[in-house]
Amino acid sequence: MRPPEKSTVVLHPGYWLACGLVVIAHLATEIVIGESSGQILPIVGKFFAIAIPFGVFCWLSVRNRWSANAVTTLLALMAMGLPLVVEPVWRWVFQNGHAFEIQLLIGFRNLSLLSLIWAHAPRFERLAVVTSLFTVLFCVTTSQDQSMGWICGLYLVGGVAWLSTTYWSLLKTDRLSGNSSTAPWQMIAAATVLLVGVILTIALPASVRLRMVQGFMPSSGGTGEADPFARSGVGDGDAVVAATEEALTFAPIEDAPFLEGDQPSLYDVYQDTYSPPKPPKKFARAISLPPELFKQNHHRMAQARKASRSFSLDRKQKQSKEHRHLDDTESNALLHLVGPVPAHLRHTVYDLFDGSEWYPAPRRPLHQRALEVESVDGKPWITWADHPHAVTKVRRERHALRVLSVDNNRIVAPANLNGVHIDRCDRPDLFEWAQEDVLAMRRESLPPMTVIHVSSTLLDTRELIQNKAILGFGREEYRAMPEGPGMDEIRELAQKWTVDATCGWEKVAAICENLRASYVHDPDIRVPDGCENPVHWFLTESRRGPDYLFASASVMLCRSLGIASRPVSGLYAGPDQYDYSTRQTSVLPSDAHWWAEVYIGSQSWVTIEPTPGFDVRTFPRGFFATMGIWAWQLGRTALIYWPISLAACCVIVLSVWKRAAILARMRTWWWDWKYDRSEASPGLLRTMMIDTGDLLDTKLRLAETPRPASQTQAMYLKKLMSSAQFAVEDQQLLTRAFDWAAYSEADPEQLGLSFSRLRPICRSLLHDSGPLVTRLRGSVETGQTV
Amino acid sequence: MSTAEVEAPESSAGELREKLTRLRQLLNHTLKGKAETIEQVLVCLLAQGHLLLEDQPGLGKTTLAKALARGVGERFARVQCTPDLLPSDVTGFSIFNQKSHEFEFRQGPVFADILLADEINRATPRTQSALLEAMAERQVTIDTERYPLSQSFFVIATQNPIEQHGTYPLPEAQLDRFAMKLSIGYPEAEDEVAMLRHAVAAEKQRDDEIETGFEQGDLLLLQNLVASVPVSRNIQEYLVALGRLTRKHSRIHLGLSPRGLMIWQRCAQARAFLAEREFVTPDDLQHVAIPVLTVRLGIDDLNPEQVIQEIINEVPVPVAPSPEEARK
Repeated sequence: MRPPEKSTVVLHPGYWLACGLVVIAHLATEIVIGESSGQILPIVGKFFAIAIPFGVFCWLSVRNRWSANAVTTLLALMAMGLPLVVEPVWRWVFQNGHAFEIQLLIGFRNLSLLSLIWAHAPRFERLAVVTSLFTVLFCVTTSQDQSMGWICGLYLVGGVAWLSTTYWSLLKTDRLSGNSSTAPWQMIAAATVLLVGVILTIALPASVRLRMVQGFMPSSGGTGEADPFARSGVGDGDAVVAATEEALTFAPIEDAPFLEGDQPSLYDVYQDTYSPPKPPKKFARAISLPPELFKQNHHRMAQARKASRSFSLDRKQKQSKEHRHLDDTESNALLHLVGPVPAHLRHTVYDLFDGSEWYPAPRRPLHQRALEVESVDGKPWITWADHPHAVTKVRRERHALRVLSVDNNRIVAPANLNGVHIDRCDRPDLFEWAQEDVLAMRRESLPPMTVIHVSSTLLDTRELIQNKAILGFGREEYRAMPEGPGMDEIRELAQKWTVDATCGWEKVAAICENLRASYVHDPDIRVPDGCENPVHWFLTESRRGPDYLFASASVMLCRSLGIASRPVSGLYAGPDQYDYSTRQTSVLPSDAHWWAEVYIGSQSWVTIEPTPGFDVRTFPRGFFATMGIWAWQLGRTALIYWPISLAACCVIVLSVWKRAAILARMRTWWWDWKYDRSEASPGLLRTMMIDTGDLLDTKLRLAETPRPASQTQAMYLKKLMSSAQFAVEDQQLLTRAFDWAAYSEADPEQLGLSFSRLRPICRSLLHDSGPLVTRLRGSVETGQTV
Repeated sequence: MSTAEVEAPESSAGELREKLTRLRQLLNHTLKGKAETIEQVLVCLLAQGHLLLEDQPGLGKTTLAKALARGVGERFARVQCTPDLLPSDVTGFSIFNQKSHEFEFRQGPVFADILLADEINRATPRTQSALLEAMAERQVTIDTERYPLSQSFFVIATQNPIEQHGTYPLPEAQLDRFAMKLSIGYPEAEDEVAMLRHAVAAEKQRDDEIETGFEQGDLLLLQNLVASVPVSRNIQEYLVALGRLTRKHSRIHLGLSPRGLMIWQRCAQARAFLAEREFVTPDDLQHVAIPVLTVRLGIDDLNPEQVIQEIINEVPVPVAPSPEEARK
């Protein structure tokens, strides 16, 4: 077939609209793929990483008028089937993958992009549009992202425009010529049969209908198949087992029945994690609480110790590292947390410290806030009227706890709890205050297999520094320091560490920083026997220890400066355990943790994390704030290493300024490498001459003496070459070779053109174009027309 | 054509080139200091095109034509066109032979190999068209009888651009039948001196000694060689681009015809042949562009050559084979 004339490739608006539709489909696909990670940057990155090469191919195709052939069909089949082939390899290498329907979607997206390359031919344009339509519909039905609405609308507008541009001329032609087009009877008949079939299917009983649809999308459940990478839906993989015998075998769902079991309590978890305390010694404690506090709380402390609710820093050596839950890796999670991590879920708050033992804070009448039910979005939330007013910028955060096996009635939640919601539970009398700020259910333990939603407030601590907030108020229990040997040294240490701090929060931050930087977290270290002041021992002697020593030390240091603070025990949900496919964090018994909280007034406590290796959730920043921090850090680094930055700047500016020259130089090297041989075929000789001409043109352009487009290279060179640089016969050979390469198909040998002779001439022409350029400049300056 | 190629073996091609060189020498001797014009005349001759010389009287138009005729050794005829010149004066006519009692055909000047039609714009349109038909078809039809002309029939027509009184300017359709329009122009001072010296009899004797050695049919062989010079596709695309631009140009009311394209390509082939090159380059096309285009384009400008130069400057030359060729 004769290729069409060059002028016939005219890109009509329909082509561009088709491009737009395919791009929308591509974007929708990337959103669906990247949706589960919840991050925008990878989506955008992947979108461009795929779109740009395809754009280049489209441009090449339009320019060179690629026509479709058998290879195209093969390519299309490959593009569709590729995701299915790549998937096993991908799963094996990256431990990550896509559900089956997503693989199909990628295949269709690929086909759509591939057909766009040949879309200057009308049938491929239509194929591209049809596949993009399918892709977008697929995405809209699969995705839960809000952007799908926009994408759908955009596609609709583009699609209507495409249809009208493509078929408008057809309609117009019909009307003008007066031809009555024959109706496509076969198509209409087929469509009718299809429609009737669909209507009949809908009329069928639901059970039959469901069986028909069953297994349509293999990983979406219904077939009993399990896919670890299945998306949210019925088929969440192995977690789903038909609840035929026992409700416990079912995954946590919102309205599961409240069941009770014999799971370990959280106190057991602490004993497991931190090993039991040593039996109390007979001798009198060297250090103790201030007498006035001691008198008040004597009864409470005794009770707490009796009920083993207090926590002693002086604990037994760990017997074995073996954990009784560790064998069973599948089911050892205490709960699953859905929501932002890292999260510190507090279980017990402590107030009094007698030097080696922490006593849990009691239920104080002040904090017995009356519980009530408030309906939020139609759901009953257990909340209370007396909410603290915001001291700083706040952010409401929601977590969902999927309780698996916690024998405990306390609702573990982040600091500054606002409300609790359990589906269909609208009775506040089911809840009570276990401690100040710690809510519990009025029952033996939390209902397992239940989803508990908790709403809490995250405080922006940066404002505390900006406002130069002074800390140092709050209950005396939270500021009390026991008295005895070593306490003065702790005070001195606190003074020393915070000597540069100007406000309360800076002091707290300095203490945390010091602990995190200079102390080592070692869970197996135990306080030695007979140690009178474990905190003092930790701060000055061992400088390493478990997290409860870090927490205690930070609280002691803060309290010595008069800042109200308390240690908290609970569970730490770290980002390491975040599972991207299920979007939840598994909290294991080994995640039992101690940290500290600082009172900033208005019944607000801020979580601080003195233990290295654990992080506090930072207040989320906006996009511009994040960019600003990056820019600031970059600028700071650049200033510190100013000679390097200066040099880099110079290099960058120079390379941008001289980019064309650098490119030309690199192309010259490439030329040298490519034609570094003695003999070559006529084809290579021709390529060499054309490359030489092209490169020479670039160099002449760079010298601001470009070859006029209407002059042949041979003619221009003939007028320019100084005889000093080249012998006359070399000049003739060169011009002849240029002409031959561009305009003749004759055998170069017959014309006396040999590669071995021409290569050095071309090389010297390219490498020493200086004299040529000088001559050119001269002729330009004197106004001659060369 | 193909038979002629077979008849021109390699050895004779070299001889033909030598003869051509001598012809060039002869013409340069005859017309001093006009090497460029003579090159174009040779291009026109080898391209089997007809030549229109537009110039002042006495610049050597006839001299050139006669020297050319003598150089190629072909029959030469001359017609001085006047308003009363009849078509039969050019083509020939049948006369009744009283002895044989039959009509016999008397050939007119068109049956020569080289015809000089002086001041063609003074002939009536009827005579002009008779002559132009002969130029285009290389045949004349008289009394229903077809008479073929010489295969290497070559017309040099002249016209005087100054005098417009009593002339019949050639219509543009007729002009398209010429391959080129050339002006000889006044010679340089020293060339004029040399010319005057040659006018002295003794000197003239020596000039006549140049013998080109052309034989009957040599010209046709040369013309066939020219027609077989290869032209690559990108050159043809370039040529078409130039041609299309002439049709779109704002100051040209009559663009280049497809026949014009054919003639242009042939002229470029002839120029490549004269430059002893085995292929055609854009330089060849550009070199013959002005004489080829001025004769056939309707340019609304006082300086048509500048318009043509603008067109040439506007189209970039190809510097690499076209993709189709590269694929092969």
